Amino acid sequence: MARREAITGLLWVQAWFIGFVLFTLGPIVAAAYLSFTEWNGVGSPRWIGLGNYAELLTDDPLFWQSLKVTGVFALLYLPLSLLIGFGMALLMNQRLRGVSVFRTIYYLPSVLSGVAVAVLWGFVFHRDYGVLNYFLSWFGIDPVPWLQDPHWVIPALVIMQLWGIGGSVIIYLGGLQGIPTELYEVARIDGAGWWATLRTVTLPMMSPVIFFQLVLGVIATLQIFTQAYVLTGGGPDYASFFYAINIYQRAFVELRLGYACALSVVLALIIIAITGIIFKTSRSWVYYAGEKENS
Amino acid sequence: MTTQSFVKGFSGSAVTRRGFLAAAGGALALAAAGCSGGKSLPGTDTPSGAAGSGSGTIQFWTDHSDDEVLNFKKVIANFNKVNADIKVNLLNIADAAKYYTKVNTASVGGNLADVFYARTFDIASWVDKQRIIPLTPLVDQDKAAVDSRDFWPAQVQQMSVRDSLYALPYDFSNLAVYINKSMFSDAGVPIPTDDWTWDDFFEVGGHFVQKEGKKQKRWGAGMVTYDWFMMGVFKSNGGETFSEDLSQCVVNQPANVDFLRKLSDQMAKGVTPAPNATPAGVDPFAAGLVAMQVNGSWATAQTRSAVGNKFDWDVIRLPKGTTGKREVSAAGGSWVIPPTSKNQVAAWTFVKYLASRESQQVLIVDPLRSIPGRQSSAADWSAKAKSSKEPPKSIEVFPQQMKEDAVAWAFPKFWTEFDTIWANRIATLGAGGDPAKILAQIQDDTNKAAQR
Repeated sequence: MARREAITGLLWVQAWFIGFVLFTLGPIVAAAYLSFTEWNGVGSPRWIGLGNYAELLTDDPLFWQSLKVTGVFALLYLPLSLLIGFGMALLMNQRLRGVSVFRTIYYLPSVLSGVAVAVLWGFVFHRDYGVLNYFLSWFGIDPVPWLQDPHWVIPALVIMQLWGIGGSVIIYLGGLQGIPTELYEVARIDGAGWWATLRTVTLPMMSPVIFFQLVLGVIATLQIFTQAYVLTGGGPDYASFFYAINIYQRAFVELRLGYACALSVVLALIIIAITGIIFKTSRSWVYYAGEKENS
Repeated sequence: MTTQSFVKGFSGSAVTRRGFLAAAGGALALAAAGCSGGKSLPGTDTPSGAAGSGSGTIQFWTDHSDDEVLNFKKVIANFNKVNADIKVNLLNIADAAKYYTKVNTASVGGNLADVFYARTFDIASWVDKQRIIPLTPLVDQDKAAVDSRDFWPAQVQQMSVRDSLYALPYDFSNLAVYINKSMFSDAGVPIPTDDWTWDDFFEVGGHFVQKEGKKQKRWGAGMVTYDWFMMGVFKSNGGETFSEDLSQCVVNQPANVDFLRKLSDQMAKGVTPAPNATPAGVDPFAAGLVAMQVNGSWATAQTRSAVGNKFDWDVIRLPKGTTGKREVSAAGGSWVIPPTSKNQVAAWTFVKYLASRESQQVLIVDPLRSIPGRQSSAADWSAKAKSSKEPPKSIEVFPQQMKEDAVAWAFPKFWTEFDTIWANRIATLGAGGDPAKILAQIQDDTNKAAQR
């Protein structure tokens, strides 16, 4: 009976397992193999060993450019998204009339598709006809060529991405509402002010959520594609040439599938390395209340 | 917690690790068996296309405006009167960038349409990428029906690689300057003559500039900066883009830098819109945002529709360069078949019809759009143009330029890479980009890509 139950359970898992193998593990293994080949999608892939890796590290300035663009974007966007998302969640965690309306309003942008958002922001960022420059003109600021100037295109994309952080605000809000109120009462009795309460109660209790958001944020940010591809195509002058756009161009425009796979493998290794570092450092700043009780 | 202890906790008795792995392996084998026996796997030497039975359903992709789609539907209906056993599914993608995204991704996925639209400057690059099949053997079998002697020789050159024809023609186009005659009349500025130069173009444009504070309300002279057009402009000013043997890009030349610098200065003055300076999705000429606009022969029908009765307009020849010549870029649209088509016979039947005089009448002659890809249809087109009261009245400018000023380029096999690099680098012109640096980077990047 128990054996039958076990087999039944395993059979149910097989559905997921087959999907995992076909759509995740299989393509990963195939990409890893193809990264050592030269292939344009027709005929057989030709084994070239480490040729693609040698080329991308030593003979492809666009590899470094795309890495730099992605890194700069991540360094600008991630801290801001964590701060602003958490800040907004703190504000929305108030018992005020109408706060649910605000929660809805701030969440709505995150349900829109990436392409629609990019097209919309294309109008917002227009130099002469965009609403953003119109607002800036009230303060006497000259029109900013957001999408035409290589120095402004990354800040523009950061602004666009920050508009859609409503999803992370909801996750922070969930975490905040899970903090036991007794802790706040104790802090209040001990005479802690707002800042001390935030520092000693809220942030430690929220650290697992922040850690989760950070890890997911790193993984998503390093793979950003849709918004930049639709809005700028990687320009101007490769200033928004994200790593994922580089992969797309090598694969689908130049038909260098082996090289594109090598780029993908490198990206995966970078993401794994950064995530590993975050996990390793998490012991010093992530507080799990359950672990403390059990230790 | 190990897998074993989890399973024991769930069922009350342990299923061994070996048993679990065996089950997983069995599932994998089942999945792999289900996958094999269908379309051939990557790594086979032969593409997975087939001649097919000559009937059935074929997919047809094109990249035109919504108005023009109606004409394509008429052509399909006419085709079906004679070929009722071939069903044609039309997919039109109006935005060129999105059309290329579709073609590029479908090419890798092996599911390109049976017949799709190709610009003639793409042919050499797509042949190199094995994206399309040679049509010469099919043309040789069907000489009477196809009558390739009726095609423009210059276009045949662009549609051929190593003496093999890879496409049948749709249209053959060049560019001219669309002028808002009402705006010229209101400003008291005379319409330029055919002898004008690029300096005259910018000088005349300066009369129409309007600004409100720092915001530009109107420009004078709209330019296009896409690569294919600029090749002709460079040549008219004494510069080249590719070496004669098409093995490398040589665009970084003083004559080319000089012209780009001149253009950049005009953008800074607001005479010419910088790239993306006009509102997205708006036709600047039809909206009255520019007094003059460089545009192609393919845009006459859509401009007629967009302008309506708003103002009086016409076309005039492109300006001459410092060499005293015009050097107008000519290229066209064409129809191609991929090696992955499962019904190449039916696709060829449809392509032949698309390139026929009957189809040209519906697609090109009746709407007075562009210049037909057949010389015999061009005669029909000229006759209709002479008798038509629709603007532009000087539509004959396009075939005249084709005869007298057109440069029929042959395009290199690394054209796709050059096109991508050009679009990226030229975008900074008018936003502080240095023309000399832009061209140097385009040349270096392209030659690196060409070596691969």
